[in-house]
Amino acid sequence: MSTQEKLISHVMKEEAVGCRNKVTVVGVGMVGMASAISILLKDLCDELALVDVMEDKLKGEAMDLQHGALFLKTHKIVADKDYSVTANSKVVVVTAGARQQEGESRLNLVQRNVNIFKFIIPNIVKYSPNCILLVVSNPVDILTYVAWKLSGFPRHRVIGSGTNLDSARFRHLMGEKFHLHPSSCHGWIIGEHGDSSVAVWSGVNIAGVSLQNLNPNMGADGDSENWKDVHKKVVDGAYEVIKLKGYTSWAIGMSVADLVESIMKNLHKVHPVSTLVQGMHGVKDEVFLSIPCVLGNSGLTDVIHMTLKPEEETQLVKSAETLWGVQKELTL
Amino acid sequence: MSSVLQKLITPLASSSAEPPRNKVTVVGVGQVGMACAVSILLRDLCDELALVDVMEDRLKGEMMDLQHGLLFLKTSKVVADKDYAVTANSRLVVVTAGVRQQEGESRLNLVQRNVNVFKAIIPQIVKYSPNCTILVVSNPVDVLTYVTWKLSGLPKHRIIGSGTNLDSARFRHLMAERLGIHASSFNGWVLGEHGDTSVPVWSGANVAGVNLQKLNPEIGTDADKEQWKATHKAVVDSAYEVIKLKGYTNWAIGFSVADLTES
Repeated sequence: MSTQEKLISHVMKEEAVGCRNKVTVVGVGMVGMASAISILLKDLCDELALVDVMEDKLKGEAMDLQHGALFLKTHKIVADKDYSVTANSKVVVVTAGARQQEGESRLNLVQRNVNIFKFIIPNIVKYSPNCILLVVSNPVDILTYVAWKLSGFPRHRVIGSGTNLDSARFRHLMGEKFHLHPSSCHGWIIGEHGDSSVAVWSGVNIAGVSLQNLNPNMGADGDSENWKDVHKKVVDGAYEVIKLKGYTSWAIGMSVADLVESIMKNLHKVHPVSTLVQGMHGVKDEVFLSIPCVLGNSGLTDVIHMTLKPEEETQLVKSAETLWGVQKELTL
Repeated sequence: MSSVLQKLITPLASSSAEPPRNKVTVVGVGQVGMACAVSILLRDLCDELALVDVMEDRLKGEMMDLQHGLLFLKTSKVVADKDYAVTANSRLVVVTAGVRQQEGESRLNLVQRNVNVFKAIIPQIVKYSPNCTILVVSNPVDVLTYVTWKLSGLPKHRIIGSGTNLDSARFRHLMAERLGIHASSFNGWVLGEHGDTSVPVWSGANVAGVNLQKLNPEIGTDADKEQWKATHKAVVDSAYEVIKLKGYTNWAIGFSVADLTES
């Protein structure tokens, strides 16, 4: 008898149940791995799968995570170039694709990343036909649309990480101004995750006290407190970090884990994420932009109707037109 | 700004800020340093985190990237500077600075290069946090923990090397995987040098108190038919293997440092 047989007896006759809360991360670059460890350190899944085309790097990352298994509550971490390893995932986080170079805008990445998605998305769908897709790769609003088209999934199961991170950055900056924790500073950035995002000043509040009521010029050019600059810092934030360390990873990783948490735990929490906004706020085209949405284990089940000023709606429509202009040239 | 602030908030206590109670500093913002920092943050272990390094742009970029995630964390302050003044009043200082093993290079080769780096770092740490505990991670960790003890003049109970915390974790993972159980349910200790000559204490290896050496008296020896010794060899080789595949190791050491920090 082997040591194992002397120690342990298997007593269950049926097949093991296997994973119930599996998460896959596609792409093991800096963003993918930051998302993976944020998800692992928050105990969000019972199995984690990693996929990438770079086989050595993939195997090395999986081993490094497995060596930390003692400190985690996720028993199974698997990785392969072959998508069969992703089977039965509840949530698939897509971070694969080219990233912005210094000074490059997100829209430049489009066609390169569409081609990558043509390979990835059908493979994901094949092995996890009921999963929820969470798209992170940039330009996220366009690529969420692309993932929706390529997957054939209903729109509630295709979510873009959108302005969840922009809003987090805004709330951090607001927190610094008032010496408060960001979670006590409320502000919503919606629309495009990028240069033309919209800061909804009317909603900015602390303990329900509207800051625009205290400062009616908030966000306008005449504003003595220059809130517009706070929004500009949010837009520029990614470019600045890229210039200093080459890429961004930690903040986006944590924001992805925040979204995965709401989905896996069925929290019905409201997050600013990218969804189909056709028919809302004057948007006519089939585009994805970030608005406040309710996330749970079915996916993105509800949207919140914000009361926007005319100039805010104009901005959303303008973003939608820019995105549609790019989308209609794509070969899917 | 001040008028909205005044209309909104009335301070009740005096305005001087309280010093942090559980401040952690991480020296070195390379892959290991940042993995330690993120693991510590995601486990809510400190009320303030300071980062130090000589590469100023990288340091500022890492600090900003963490600050952008503060909404999701329970640590209210993340600071960074080349100047060690930013580390003042730390309870724990994690030292990851220094050069790392190249592919195929042993940890002992790194010694003299890292001793020179430590001569610059350690006195600065002690200057600003004379009551801290120092956790040394840089390799070869056992030698550099000795070096830190000598350079700092701190009592030996406040100088700790991350040592075989990671080797033991790897050992428990690999052994547990062979048995189909969680790593935390396999008890086994690897002691001695963090490196090629580490010692797996087979006489203590057990699951639920059942001693494996009693079940298999040859366990860990060359005569062992089941070759359990290979599992320890895999532990020794694992860092080299991960380095060969992805260029460095960071996640496992990061989690293991957070584990020590928590205790």
